[in-house]
Amino acid sequence: MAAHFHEQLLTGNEAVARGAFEAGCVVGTGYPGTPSTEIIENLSRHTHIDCEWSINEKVALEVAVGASIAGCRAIVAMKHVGLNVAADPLFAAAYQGVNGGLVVVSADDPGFHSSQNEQDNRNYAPHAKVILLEPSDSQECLEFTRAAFALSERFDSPVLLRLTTRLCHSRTLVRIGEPETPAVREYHRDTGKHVPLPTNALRLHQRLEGRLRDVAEYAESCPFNAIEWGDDRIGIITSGISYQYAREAMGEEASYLKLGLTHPLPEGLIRHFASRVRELYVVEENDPYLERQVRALGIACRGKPMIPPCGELDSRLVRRALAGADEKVLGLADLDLPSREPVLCPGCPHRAIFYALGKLQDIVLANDYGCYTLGMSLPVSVTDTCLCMGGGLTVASGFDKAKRLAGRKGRIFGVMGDSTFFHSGITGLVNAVHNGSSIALILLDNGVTAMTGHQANPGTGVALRNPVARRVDIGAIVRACGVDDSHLRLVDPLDLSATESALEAAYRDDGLFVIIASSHCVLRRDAADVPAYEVRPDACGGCGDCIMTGCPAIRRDGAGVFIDAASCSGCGLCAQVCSFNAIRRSGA
Amino acid sequence: MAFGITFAGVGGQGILFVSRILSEALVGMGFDVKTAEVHGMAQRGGSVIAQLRFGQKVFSPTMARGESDMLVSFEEAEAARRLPFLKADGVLISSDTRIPTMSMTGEGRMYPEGIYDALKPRVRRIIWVPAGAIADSLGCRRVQNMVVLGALVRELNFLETDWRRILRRSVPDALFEMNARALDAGLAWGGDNAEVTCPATQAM
Repeated sequence: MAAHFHEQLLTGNEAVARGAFEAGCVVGTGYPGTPSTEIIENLSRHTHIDCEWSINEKVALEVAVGASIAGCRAIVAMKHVGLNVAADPLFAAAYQGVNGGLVVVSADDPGFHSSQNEQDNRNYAPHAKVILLEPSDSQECLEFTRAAFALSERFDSPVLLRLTTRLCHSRTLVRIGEPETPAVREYHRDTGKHVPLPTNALRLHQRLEGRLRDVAEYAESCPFNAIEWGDDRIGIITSGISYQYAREAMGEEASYLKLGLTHPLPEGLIRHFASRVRELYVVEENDPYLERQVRALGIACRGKPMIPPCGELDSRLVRRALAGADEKVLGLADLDLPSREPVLCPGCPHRAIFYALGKLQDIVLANDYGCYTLGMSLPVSVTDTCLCMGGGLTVASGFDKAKRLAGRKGRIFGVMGDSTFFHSGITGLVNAVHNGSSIALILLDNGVTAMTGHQANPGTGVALRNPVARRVDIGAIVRACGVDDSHLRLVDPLDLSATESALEAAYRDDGLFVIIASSHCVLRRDAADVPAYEVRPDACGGCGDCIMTGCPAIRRDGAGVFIDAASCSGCGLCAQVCSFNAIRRSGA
Repeated sequence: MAFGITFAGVGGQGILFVSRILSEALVGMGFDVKTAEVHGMAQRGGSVIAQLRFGQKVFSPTMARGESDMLVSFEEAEAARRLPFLKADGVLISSDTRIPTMSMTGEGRMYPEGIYDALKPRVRRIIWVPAGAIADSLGCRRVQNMVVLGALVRELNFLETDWRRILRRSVPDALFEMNARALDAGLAWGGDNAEVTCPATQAM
């Protein structure tokens, strides 16, 4: 057994951060998004690296491009849907090239561990015409990231580093290296390169196509692309984590063309491999990204749908597809197990809002992405749609149009959190004012970007590297957008009667109405001295109203109800809900 | 070939911490180790799993259903829910801790009974740890995860490892002693109960 001296277990994210550090990267930007968040968090531990949580991914990439043009090696990290937001600057940056190396990390999520889709962002590389790298474990996360900056500079192209959840959050052994001394390159104005007037742009495009040909040539001998010969009866073309699944499934029973630089592809190497194996397969998770290009070379191969396009891949699925094997698994089908979905924490202020919304008749609710999406976990769940960041407001505006055209009754509500509001809610609010949307908007301000791990946002009062940061006032922004005070309410969501009164006012209004519900995230409150609540069994009427709040600390006990003191955070919502006055603070 | 463990439980029980301690120890023993975790939504009290594989050379960090040599659960219903991950001849270790789900409260359902009895005939070997009671006897329910780790270490027979040293560099000083005692208690329980499983249901 090999002893693994000088190696340590790192997650892929930790390894990417280490690779950037070792390459002398000095700027890191991003927006929190699982599974990418820990990249910038880890990078920011190096105090000489300028790291920021940008307000959204487009801004993050633009800031990184600016730093790159000005001579810094820069990295920007986001989850897969974040690249959709950052797509504009990505395509633009590809035409212009870089000065300091620029690495764009897309952390995709096959299997939807924390996302609304499993879009395969490898597809961005040929569309935007950038270099694409796909590491397959934490060691490669480090090495590919480190090499990406030099590659970016050598070929004058942004590099898209594509990760997936099983790379980001898996720990594998890594040998770290010695860091380069960071240096910022000189900057000289070059309008021909960075101002794509039509006269420049054609030339830039032609240069870009030439660059891609150079990279394709390099790809043939790039150390990230290699053949592992085993049995040549079966040849497998693969990349990323799929390589691990394929290797696990087939071992020495196959040969592997393991690709690490996957745009542009090494066509010669692919042809060489294909000609020397009897049956050729392409094993990749989600989209037939590699497979399409292999087929376009006129090479026959098998891949989708035998390798499933939907959901996460694993070695058993690969084995079943290639070798037809399957074993019996244990199951416990006859035990009816209750589901255990994630829920809002006990004491979460969002709970009060969704509880109160659940009592309104005839509403449509456009929801958004954050902890409050879990408002759906309440017994009475009121969400109609959840589209994308900012959709809570803008989709509601669209519903409002249909309501008017169809002559419907009822009220359209939109909901989003503070971080989402800064990300892409302000634009939707300005649009709603300017274009006359009659919607009721609830801004859930818990002062932090909670779901992804409590990162700072402009309303938090701290920034990633600054313990004291100027707080951007959401109420002032709402007023500045043109919402007057008669259509604006500021409430503490845990004051149930104030909340219900504000919702009533929003419900009855027939124009744009905004409620800002402010209360700190319960996980950030100092809960140590807050007494739990308890149910007085003699007073409890068994009505179940408290259970309708969906609080996990409230449990059934035969005919009655009790509160688990260890879980209770002392928010007092249940006490306000109880019409029997049976719930009060312990010791009261 | 790699040896694989699936850990199961409820978000917040400290499953990832146990996986980290064990994986540090395994690296120290010279194994190649890969772990798979999921961070994010599942932590809000949802059902979570983590996986750990070790051997001379490990490729996939994840295992599909029916591929784990051991299933280690920190909660009773989760042991049942994740049983499909266990190999037909695998070993099940579970805490008897019960955490009700929101769906139980919401639908007025009681915690399902008979889980141990349903599991026992289906697995080659079952180790049912009264981890909650043991942790309570130490004065801290929260460290029941370390009690389960102790029982796991006993089952794997990794008794030569200096677990305290690994713990020392993995927890803040203030928490070290309680975690270490819980680990020791789990090891001791495992030693006393090597061939015996002690479910609460057996007494009824």
